Amino acid sequence: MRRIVGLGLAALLMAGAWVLEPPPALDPDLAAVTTTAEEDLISTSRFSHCSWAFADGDVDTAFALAALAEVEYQLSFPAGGELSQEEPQVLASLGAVSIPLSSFRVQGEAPAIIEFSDGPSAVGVVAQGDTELSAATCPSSLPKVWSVPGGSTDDGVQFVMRLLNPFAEDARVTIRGTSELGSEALPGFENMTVPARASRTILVHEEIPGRATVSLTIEQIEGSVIPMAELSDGTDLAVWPGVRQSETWELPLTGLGSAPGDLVLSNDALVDVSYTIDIFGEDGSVTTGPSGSLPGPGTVRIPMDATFAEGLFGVRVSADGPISAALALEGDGGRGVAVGLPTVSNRWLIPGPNAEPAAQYEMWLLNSGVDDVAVRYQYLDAAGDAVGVTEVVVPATSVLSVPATQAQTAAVLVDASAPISVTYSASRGRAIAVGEAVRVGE
Amino acid sequence: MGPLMETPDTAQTVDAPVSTPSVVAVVIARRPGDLSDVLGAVVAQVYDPVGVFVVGQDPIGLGDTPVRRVATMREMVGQVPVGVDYLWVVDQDARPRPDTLRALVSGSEQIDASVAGSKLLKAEAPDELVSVGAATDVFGVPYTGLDAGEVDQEQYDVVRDIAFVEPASMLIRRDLFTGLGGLDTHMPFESAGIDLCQRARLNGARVVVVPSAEVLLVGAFPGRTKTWREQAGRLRGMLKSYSLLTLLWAVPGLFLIGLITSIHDTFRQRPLALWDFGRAWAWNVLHIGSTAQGRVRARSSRQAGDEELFRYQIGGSVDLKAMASGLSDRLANPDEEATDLFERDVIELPGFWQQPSFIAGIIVTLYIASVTRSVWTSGLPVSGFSLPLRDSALASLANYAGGWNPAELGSPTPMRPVVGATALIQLLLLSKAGLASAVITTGSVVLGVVGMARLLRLFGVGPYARSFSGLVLMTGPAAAYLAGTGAWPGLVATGLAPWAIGIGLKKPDTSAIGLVSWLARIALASAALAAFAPVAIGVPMAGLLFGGIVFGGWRRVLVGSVASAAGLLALMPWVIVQTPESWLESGTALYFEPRWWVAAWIAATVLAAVALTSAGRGRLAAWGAVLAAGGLLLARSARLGIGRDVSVAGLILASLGLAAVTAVALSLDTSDDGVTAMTRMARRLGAFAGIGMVVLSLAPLLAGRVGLPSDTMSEALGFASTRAQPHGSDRILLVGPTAALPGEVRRLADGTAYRTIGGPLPHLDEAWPDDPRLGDEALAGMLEELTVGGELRPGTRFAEFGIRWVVFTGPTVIEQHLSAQLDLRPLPDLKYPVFENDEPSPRAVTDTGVAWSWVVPGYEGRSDGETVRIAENADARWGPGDWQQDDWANAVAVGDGTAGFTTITGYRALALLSGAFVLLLVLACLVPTVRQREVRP
Repeated sequence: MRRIVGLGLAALLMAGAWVLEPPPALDPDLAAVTTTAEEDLISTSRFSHCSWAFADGDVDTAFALAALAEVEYQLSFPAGGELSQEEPQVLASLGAVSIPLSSFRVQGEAPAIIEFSDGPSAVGVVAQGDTELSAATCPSSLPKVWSVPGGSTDDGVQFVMRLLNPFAEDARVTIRGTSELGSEALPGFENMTVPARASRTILVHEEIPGRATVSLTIEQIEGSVIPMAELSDGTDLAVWPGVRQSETWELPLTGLGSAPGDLVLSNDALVDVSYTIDIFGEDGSVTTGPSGSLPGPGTVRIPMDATFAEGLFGVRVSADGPISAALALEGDGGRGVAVGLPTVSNRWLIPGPNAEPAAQYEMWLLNSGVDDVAVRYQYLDAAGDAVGVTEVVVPATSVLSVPATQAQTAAVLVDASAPISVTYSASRGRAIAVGEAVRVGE
Repeated sequence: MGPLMETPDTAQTVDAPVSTPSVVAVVIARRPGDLSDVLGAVVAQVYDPVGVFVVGQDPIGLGDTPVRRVATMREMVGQVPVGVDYLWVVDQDARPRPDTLRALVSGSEQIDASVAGSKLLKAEAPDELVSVGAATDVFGVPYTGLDAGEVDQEQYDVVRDIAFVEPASMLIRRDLFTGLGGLDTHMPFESAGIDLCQRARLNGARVVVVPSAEVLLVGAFPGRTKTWREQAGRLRGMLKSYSLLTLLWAVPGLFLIGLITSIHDTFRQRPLALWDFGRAWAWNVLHIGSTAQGRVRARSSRQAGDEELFRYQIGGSVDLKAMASGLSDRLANPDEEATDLFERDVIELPGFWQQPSFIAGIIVTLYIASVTRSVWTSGLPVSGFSLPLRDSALASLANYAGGWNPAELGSPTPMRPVVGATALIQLLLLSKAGLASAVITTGSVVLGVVGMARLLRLFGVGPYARSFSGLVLMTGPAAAYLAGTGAWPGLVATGLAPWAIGIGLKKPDTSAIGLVSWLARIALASAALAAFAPVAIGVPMAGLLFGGIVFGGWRRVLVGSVASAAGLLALMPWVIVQTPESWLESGTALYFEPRWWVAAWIAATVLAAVALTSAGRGRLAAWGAVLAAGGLLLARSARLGIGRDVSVAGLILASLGLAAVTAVALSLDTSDDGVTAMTRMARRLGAFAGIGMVVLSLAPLLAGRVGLPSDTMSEALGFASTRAQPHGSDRILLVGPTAALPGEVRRLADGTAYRTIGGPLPHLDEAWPDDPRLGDEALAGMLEELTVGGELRPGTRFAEFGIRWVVFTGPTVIEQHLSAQLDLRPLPDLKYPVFENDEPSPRAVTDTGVAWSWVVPGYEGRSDGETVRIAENADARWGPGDWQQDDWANAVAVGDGTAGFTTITGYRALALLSGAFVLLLVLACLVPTVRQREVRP
């Protein structure tokens, strides 16, 4: 009897054990985890990577730093596997400062990382020489795939790509190129290593000579790099950063004085992408610009000439697949390239205007919306004082150009009542430069 | 025929001597006592001695006997008149018959023997033989060749050469005695005789036994050979007599055999065996000078080599043979109470090596050696909770008793009892950490197998079934799963589990002392079990309570359960800070999910065992089935919110139950007698199922580490040793899947598991972190930020916590973000992705930047600067000097270059109290045994 009772009890306990399910897994399912979504394009980052900066007896580069809150900032220069760090400094709230590279007693190339104790913040580089003027914003985000549209390897033009790896880990990348002829072979650029805390320079004009339009794609296999492109023809110099691809782009600036612009679109995919271009004139007119199919992979250069609109105009590019867009300006002795803006925002921080005091600056505001937008912009100086506060209205579906020269400042903060896109340009003599704004609002 | 049966060529019937050599009787008074009886017997000899000496201190009862009393042997030799031919050495416990001396003289004269001894009989039972001369083994252990209680039927009455005679009655030529210096007074009774006879034979003398010379011996003490004095004496005798070449192998062999047999005897009514063993060797170390002098004297006059000694020695080791025979007997005779081994002089049972018990014992021994081999050759694998001990046992014990708990960023909370228990064992093994781990691991397997056999013996289970059930207990499906999770303490607890139950189910002695001893043994066994797996204190309680249901004897098992619970008192101070939640819910629960065919096999075995066996064994099977099922239920209750400890206890319970069930299945009567063919077939299938359970238990033999997982840490973290800074290894942060991390883990909000260890390897005392404190929360907060990304200098932040390396044992979100940061440098070509901090990251650093070393239980370094920041959770008991809280850490004065945590006296007192309680239990266990000891010099 006892053993029957025992057996029964055992059976009951066994049945209970059988129905108990395993516990939920406590370790996260890493297959479902991705890196931070790239949709978040608001720059709340606390650091910027300037892959290009140069100083010698003829050319000097100014780092234009801007921050919305009072911050402590520090510059570090990665080179040869080491990271030399400068002493931290303090920047006032709503402040901006221009720091020449030559002040660090550096000669030659000196890419840098700028770290802020708080965000949002932004950094741009403005370089000036006897005949050169260039400007670019230093990226904060690190997409998996970089796109660098707008290059050229025409005769007499040098197209150089600089890949900066400021991090502690070696990076491996694969670089692909496209031109007006389609995909370009770049042997030796697959799984290319960019050592930790160092840069690599690629002379694109030697790899793919004689192309009117060259766009590059940098895919990061391991680690991270920050690309910056450099285009020179012996007179002026154009510098611009890499971008992540997007299905929409806005370019408030399409030409600058004697330097007409070309819209360069690049498709890195293997499938064709259809695109349309909307033209926004300064009078509020909206016209449909050229549309077409961008072969994959491929790049196309579309001149932004007067056939599209009278006077100033901006463009919005819409595609049915991710592409990259840039504006390449080339005129009489002047050259500039600026990447497009993949989004609009009601707040922009523009590092760079007035960092080079001898140049003249303009700001370009594109309102692609259907309502007028009230815009308030102010210049930022080192003391954090609100300088030259100006309010303008950008009519619906129009582009507006405003002067943006203000001495003793290094950045501009733009607040709008509705999302717009903003860029800026600089000119000094025949040299021209165009720079990007950094989104810091919704 | 052995040496005892050799007869000299000149063997003759003893007759009246032709000449009358003069003899002086020498009575040896080894201890104070009444000598009247022995003197009376000496004086009453038909062969009159010409004089009687009494050698020794404070003899009484001399009366009118014409004796000369001297204090020392030398004094006696000096006073013996010239012309005396023989000395008759008689022990104070000897009662020679009236014709003993005449027989001795006659026998010696006839065969020209230099030393002649008597046949010894028990004074209390004059028919019973004690000795008729004896041989020894090479280690000097005597071997008489007699059965216990053998009656004298004159079967050994022939004068023959032998190895030695006891000095109870020894006739020795005076000149030989003088030349040898007589009996070595440093030696006790038996070994003195062996020593004298060996020295005599080395001098070319013949040593014979004259059986017609009978002596009654009072208080013949069968355990004499095992006393520490006799052990010491035998070693001394070896050192004096053997050549150096022989000593080179014989002395280590004696040590090893002595150690093994002492360990065995500890569990066989000689709990002080190891103490005696150590004492014997220590005595020889202390007396090495006199031993050396004796050796010089002995060897200066020797005429023969060691081969003369080997002639009368038996092969092998007497002690080992006795041990093997005893083991075989116990396995073969479950119903017999173990008898004192040393009441039995029989070493070689006819064909004992053919007995099932012996064969089973050999198989089990081979199994134990094989399943633990890797632990001895490569050390304990570092994985899960299988973690190495600290180098210093004393430091571990000091930390355990009220010191700083080093897990994660530290806490004042008492550490788990397993830390104290292992440190104590390590201390006994001269602080050898690796040795202690191996001994504990192997010891647990041995204890498990032996304990299970003892438990099942109560139910009449046969030797094979008892032996093999131990395999199922220690490496069966449930135990293998437990070990496979790295639960080393749980594995050890499994080996201890059957003891408390076995003691509890056995009827205790009815005397008060016996009852107290019984309760104490239950409590001690339970305490040992709970030290390694606290919640498993419920295992013996459950086993006893279920046993009450199944076997009856409610009152006894209830009392036993209470005694089992009393074992908790040995777990202080840890046990008093626990709450019901911490007992039942802490840690990540296990989930035992055997393969379907293993589960089916288990079920078949249980069914067969319960249904097909006899009534008695059927209850045993039912008991085992309930334990197994209950354990399995606990081991699968993770969803009910139980913690790890509960699931470990469940697996131990399940292992116990499965072992019992397997034993019953293996014991199924598969013979053809009186059962139907179907029943016979069913029983055979049931026995086959039991065999299958045993086969399932053999899987861990392949790796040889008792089912523990392979070492995932030692090689993977080797960089921390090679790349350590001069101040030592800094902390290592491990992030990854739970199974790849040591000990209990902490988790981030997304479930990512992580652990911080002191480096270069995790230690056992770091396995169980306390509830998070300020520093732990700060670290967790920082890691949460890293999961989002955007931190450019994580190294600088890790440096605050003393973390120099970050190791990813599996893919994590944090690692993905570390591809874009400045100050954690990846180390190439390692098993796991490892990032090394470029920023200086010592755990303790002075305000002048001097790094201090973590030296358990505190920090040490150069006395430079005013304050030192200690990256441990803030606690005002850190010192020296004025303590200040530095954010979540500590800042104390540099002082003399040491910083430490002030012991919590309350916890220390409780730890000492626990130790005293354990000692009390041990003493209570020993009382009945000690009272049975008869110790005579």
